[in-house]
Amino acid sequence: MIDLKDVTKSYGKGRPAVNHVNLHVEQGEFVFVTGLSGSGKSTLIKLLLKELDSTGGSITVAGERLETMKHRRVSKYRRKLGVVFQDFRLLKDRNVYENVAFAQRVIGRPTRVIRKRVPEVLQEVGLAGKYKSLPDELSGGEQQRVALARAIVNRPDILLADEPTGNLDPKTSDEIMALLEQINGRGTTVLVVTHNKEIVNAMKKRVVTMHDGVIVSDEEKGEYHEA
Amino acid sequence: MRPSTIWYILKQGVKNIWRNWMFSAASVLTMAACIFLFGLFYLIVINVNFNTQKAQEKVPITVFFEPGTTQEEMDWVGEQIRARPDVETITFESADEGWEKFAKQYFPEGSAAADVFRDDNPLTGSDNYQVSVNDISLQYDLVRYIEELPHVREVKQAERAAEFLTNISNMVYYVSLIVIGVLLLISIFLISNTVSVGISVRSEEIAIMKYIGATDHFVRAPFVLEGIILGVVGASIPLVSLYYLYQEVVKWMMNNYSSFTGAVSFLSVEQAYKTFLPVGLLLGVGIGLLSSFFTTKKHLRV
Repeated sequence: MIDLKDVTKSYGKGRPAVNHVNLHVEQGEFVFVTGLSGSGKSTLIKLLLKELDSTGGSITVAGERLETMKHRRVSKYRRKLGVVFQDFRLLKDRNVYENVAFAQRVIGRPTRVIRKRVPEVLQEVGLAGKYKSLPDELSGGEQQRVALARAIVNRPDILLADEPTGNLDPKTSDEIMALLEQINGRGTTVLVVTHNKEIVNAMKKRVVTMHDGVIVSDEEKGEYHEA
Repeated sequence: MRPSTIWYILKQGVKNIWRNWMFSAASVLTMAACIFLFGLFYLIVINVNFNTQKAQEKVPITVFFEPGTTQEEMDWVGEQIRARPDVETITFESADEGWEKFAKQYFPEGSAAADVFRDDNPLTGSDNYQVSVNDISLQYDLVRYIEELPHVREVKQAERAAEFLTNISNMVYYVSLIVIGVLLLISIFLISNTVSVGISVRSEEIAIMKYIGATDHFVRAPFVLEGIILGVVGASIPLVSLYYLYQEVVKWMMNNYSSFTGAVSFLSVEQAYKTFLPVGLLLGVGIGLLSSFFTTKKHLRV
């Protein structure tokens, strides 16, 4: 599902942010990518999102070769992914329903499908009663649930989450992780970038640890390492 | 593209204007101010041009014929002249008509001179064509052409007046070209800057759309539509206000400066707007469309 071969990303003349990384993630896997700030994990997510281009190596995601992908193809590729950010990145002037529906609109789903699918997903993330609320009227946890709903509404093959619990308290973080696990249980590949030690240790999933742009450990049912 | 998607884009374009009403208002006001200034100058220029043109028409070329030229031959010469694209008007005046006009002006009916020349036209042989050109700078060429035609005895022209008007006309043309060009550049710069700032504050929103998988067209379409709407509104304000202002100013000038009447004439508002309306709208819509198109492009590389 995700295949990185000898991937390097340099921003300038200094040390590469991602340095000769090899990583393979199977379909349906749940993987944590951990590491300290500046370890290269966020760059890794940006490479997978095709927000950045690698400076070396090859990246294949859901059958798509990213290093040769043309700009006009990127939007179609991103529809195969769901993405969740630490700062939620919701459209502030649109309500919960519209934020989730937007992901369906961009892929040209007819309105009748959107009207059926969006309430289903909001129900799934526990926000059925708040579909009219604006993002600023919601708590951090609720906003992240909206972001999750938006990420999964199109049933993506892969869900990328960049520090999804970074702005949340421990209880809400657990709830979000439970939702991610639930999504993974339905066959979606989930890749979570985090430095939340408690969550990583509690969930007993595959843990990839990065340090200075290099993968220093990759363990099944691993634990958080202070690399 | 699905009808629901088109409808969504249309709705978003209109909603964007309300969501960012301060930037929308700033864009519309900047556009309105620029097009107003542009329009003001444009209306002055086309009126100056109109008057120069009118003055040119008043500088006639008079074509006289050799003695013995028949009416058919004179008609033929008239046809040759009329066929020229640089000829604005051509009127024939026979010797009898010429004398009648002269006598009416200088010899009142019943005077001795009128009686003396009643049956003896002193202007015999002065049948002529009065020709006016649509561009005074072409008068010299036309005169040369007419002089070469058969049966033509003499061609009279007001060379100095033609030269003077040619100079005025050229000066107006170049000055207006420069001023309109400069105003246009300033307008484009100011308007596109305002529209750009309005879109730049929404770069985060554009980025989110792109992360979700929106195509460039899908993201851009509401912004471009917004730019077009702002362009139409921004252009309509000066177009409407100048429409009424122009009529009032013309009326006021004609009433208060009666010496103008006859010497200077103004284009009717309908005539003036025949060109100013499409130019103003095109300016507003064009700048709104292009600036939103290119500003969005900057933020689409996510």
